[in-house]
Amino acid sequence: MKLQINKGDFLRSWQIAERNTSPKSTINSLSGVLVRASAADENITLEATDLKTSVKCIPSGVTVEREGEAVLPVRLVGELFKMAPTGVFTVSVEDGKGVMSSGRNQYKFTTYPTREFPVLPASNTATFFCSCAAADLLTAVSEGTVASTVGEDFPKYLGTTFFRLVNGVLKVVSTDGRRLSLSEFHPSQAGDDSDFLLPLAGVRELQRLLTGVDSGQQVVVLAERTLAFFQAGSVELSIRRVDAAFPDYESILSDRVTNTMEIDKASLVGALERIDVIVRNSIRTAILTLSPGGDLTIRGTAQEIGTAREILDATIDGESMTAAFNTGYLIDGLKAIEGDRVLMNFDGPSGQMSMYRPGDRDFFYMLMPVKVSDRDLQEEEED
Amino acid sequence: MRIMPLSEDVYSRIAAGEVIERPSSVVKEAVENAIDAGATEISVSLAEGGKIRIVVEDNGDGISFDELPLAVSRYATSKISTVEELEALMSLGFRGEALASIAAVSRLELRSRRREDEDGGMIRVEGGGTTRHERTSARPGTRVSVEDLFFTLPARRKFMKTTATEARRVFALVRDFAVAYPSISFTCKSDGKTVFSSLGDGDRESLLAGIWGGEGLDSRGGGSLRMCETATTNLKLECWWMPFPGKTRSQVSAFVNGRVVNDSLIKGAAGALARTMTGNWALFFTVPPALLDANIHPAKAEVRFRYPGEVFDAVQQAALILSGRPSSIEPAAAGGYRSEPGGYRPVPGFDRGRPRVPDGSFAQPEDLFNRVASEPFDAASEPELPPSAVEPRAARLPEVGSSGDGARFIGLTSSGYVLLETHDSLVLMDPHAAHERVNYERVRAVSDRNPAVQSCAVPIPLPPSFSMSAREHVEALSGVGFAFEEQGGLLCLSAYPSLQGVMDEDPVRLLRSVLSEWTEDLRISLSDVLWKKLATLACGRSVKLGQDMSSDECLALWRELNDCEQPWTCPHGRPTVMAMPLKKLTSFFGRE
Repeated sequence: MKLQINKGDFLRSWQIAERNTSPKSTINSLSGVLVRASAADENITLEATDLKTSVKCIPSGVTVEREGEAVLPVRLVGELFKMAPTGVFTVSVEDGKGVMSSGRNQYKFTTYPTREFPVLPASNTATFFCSCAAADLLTAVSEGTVASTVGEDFPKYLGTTFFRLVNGVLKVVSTDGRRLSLSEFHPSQAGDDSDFLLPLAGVRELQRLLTGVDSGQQVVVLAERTLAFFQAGSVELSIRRVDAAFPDYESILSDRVTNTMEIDKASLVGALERIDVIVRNSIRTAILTLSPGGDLTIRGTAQEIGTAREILDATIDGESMTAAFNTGYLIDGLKAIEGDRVLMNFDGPSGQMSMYRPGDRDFFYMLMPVKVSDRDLQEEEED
Repeated sequence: MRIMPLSEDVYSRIAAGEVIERPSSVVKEAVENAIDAGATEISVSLAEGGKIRIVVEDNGDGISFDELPLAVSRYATSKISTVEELEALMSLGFRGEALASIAAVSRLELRSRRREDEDGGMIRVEGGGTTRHERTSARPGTRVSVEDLFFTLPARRKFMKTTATEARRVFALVRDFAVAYPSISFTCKSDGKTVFSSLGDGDRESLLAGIWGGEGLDSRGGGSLRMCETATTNLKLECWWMPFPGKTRSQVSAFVNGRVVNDSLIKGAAGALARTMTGNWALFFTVPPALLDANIHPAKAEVRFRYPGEVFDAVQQAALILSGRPSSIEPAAAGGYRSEPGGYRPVPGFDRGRPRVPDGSFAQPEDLFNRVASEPFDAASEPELPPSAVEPRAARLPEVGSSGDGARFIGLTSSGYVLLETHDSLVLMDPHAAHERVNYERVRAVSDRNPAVQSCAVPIPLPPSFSMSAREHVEALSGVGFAFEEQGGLLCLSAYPSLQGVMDEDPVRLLRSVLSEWTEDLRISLSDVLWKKLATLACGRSVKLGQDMSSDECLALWRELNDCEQPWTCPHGRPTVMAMPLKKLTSFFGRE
């Protein structure tokens, strides 16, 4: 195999493949990228997998001088590609030995046996799920995964994202037990109602992939029993599904609203971040006092460290109410909401709190309050 | 008093007492019989943790009507007939005394039918005597019903634990059997509620993942549940591990030729790796029957290996493979044994830590330095006790005035300890341990004031591996901020205490670690266990031993330590200071 590579065009695809390798795997070939060069098609395919996500892509900027295939070790060769002193270089592989020539410079390396590289899943037997603009899917994935946290072992749906197609609407939902986020939109084309659960790590890779494509690029989503496929242009990402049931979140959501508040998002985020400076190494809690027809007062107290109090303008309906929330979780939800303003619905001091874009119900973020002692609440009020 | 032979009534109860200790012993024997009978479905039902009734039902080969009286007779079995067979056991049971032992201490009813028979049979035995034996209709297989366990041994009855504890022991046992025999479907019910069931589809991976509460293996061995197989000359090991980062204790289940064992040799081998690789472990050893003696323990909970060193070798190999790196477990550290054909021997020079002397403190080598250290210094012989054991002791450091003023900084030793002089003592202070104590008390003072509880937006179902335990202690856990609710028969976590700085921790992991530490020693208060989480945080924020510190910093630390409620130990129980009263020093040098 011999290739002539234009560095700038090629590296974008290489990096997509590189991210899906498994450099620490005990299977050597998983720490490499399989390059298949076809003289007939005059292009190459890059394949990489960590056995949970797999990617196939056709990079541009490559001229096939001699066809063949090789598994290139991703760390070594990837760095050489990035550091190549010339914009155009050649890579050839013969009998497992690779040579990269860049100008007058030459680098030799060993490749992995191609027979050890796993056969990547094929999407040709998968069922159509939906197709949509990359920008819409990116928004839904970014918003819908806010409540998911990596690293939680049980139940299996923690650390995952739920993709649910119902009546032509794609809902992206996640929860880490403490909060729940849901983002939905109408895809351009929708298949039959169905759903699947994907690991957050795979969804984050999808997010990165979507960030790198044109916003109008159509993404085709396919699903089969164990995998979901996302096809965007010359890239196909497959993610192994998580075999678990997502909780019946709709039955948990409460319609009860005792207070509503519409507020400037940036001001609220800024206030909470400043309060978080005080409380982040203590009980990371902000106490919100809603005064109807008046202001929002936010207080944070960390014993022996300090206190903070901020007063913000807000449009508040309902009775006067005080509730405490984890500042980090509040900030996460607020930052996920696009737009300048945010609508917050409260169900008393111990019920669900949901955030929305005003006038829009296609995204919400639900969070439960922190129960603090009455004494602490009173002290704050007397402060 | 003259020596006389015991009556059958007495010796049968004594023998029964060795085999049947509690409800789980009954279940163990009955389930082993069911497995030996080739059952593919086994169900266990308990009433009040088995104290009132235990029913074990299987679809195995069954017993003919005529053989039922023999089945409940001592030393009658279909499993072996010669001494040679005893030396190469292929079955779990072999002594022929289990049912007789159960019958001697309870009201036993055995119903059974062989598949080829039209009718089945039933036999009832109360306190060892048969009260009924008749033909009856029965499903193929055997149903063992045990009521009023130990009604003939009231003393033993008193030693049974609470209903929840006994049920938990049975549940753990059935779970272990299910893991050892994944092709058999097990069901375990407690007071009508199904607490465990397995499909019997042979998929050990899914079973373990479900029980331990984590992801299964992916097709190439990734995921958080890990498995490997190792072999030595005479032994094979299938080793499963689910790491739980941050967990301090490990749960090890061991099986030898399908037998659930609680063997000290295996414990030693597994304990060595579980210390460095914490999490849940399941070890399945396969040994040629001729190289294993299962007839050494009344309840068959222990076995004797012909080549015990190979157990360590196999476990160590597994640790190397599963850790994916050179293991920190040195060959000698794995219990101190090396594999030796034909036997084993302790490795000379293996450091087993300081030997404990009977009074609980650590023995010191007899040399001059240690004599000085162990005699005049007050804290030198402070035993390493859990925080709960040392906390209640209100103690003050050597008198330096209420503000700690008056101490003189002498220097830092090359190993990082701070040497101080107060008006009545010479003091060596571990700056890390001291700073941990200071930070811990500071954090705890704040947290005591602000008990906060984070509610769950979506109640989180608990893994079966500890939901029983959580259910048993719901009330105590509620007292420290955990809240639960039932959903579809599952116990779900609906709120958890939001500890300072660990608020973002996985709540299930928090509950698991708190519960596992607490249930190891229920004498410690649950809140103390929870505060130990804070201790871990305090540890991370403290100065390190060997860190360069100025005299001002050392004296400031001394003053703050002096203001602590429990200054003598760090939150983990290590000593913070070693004080040598000047009087003792004077006396030691004969200057008094």
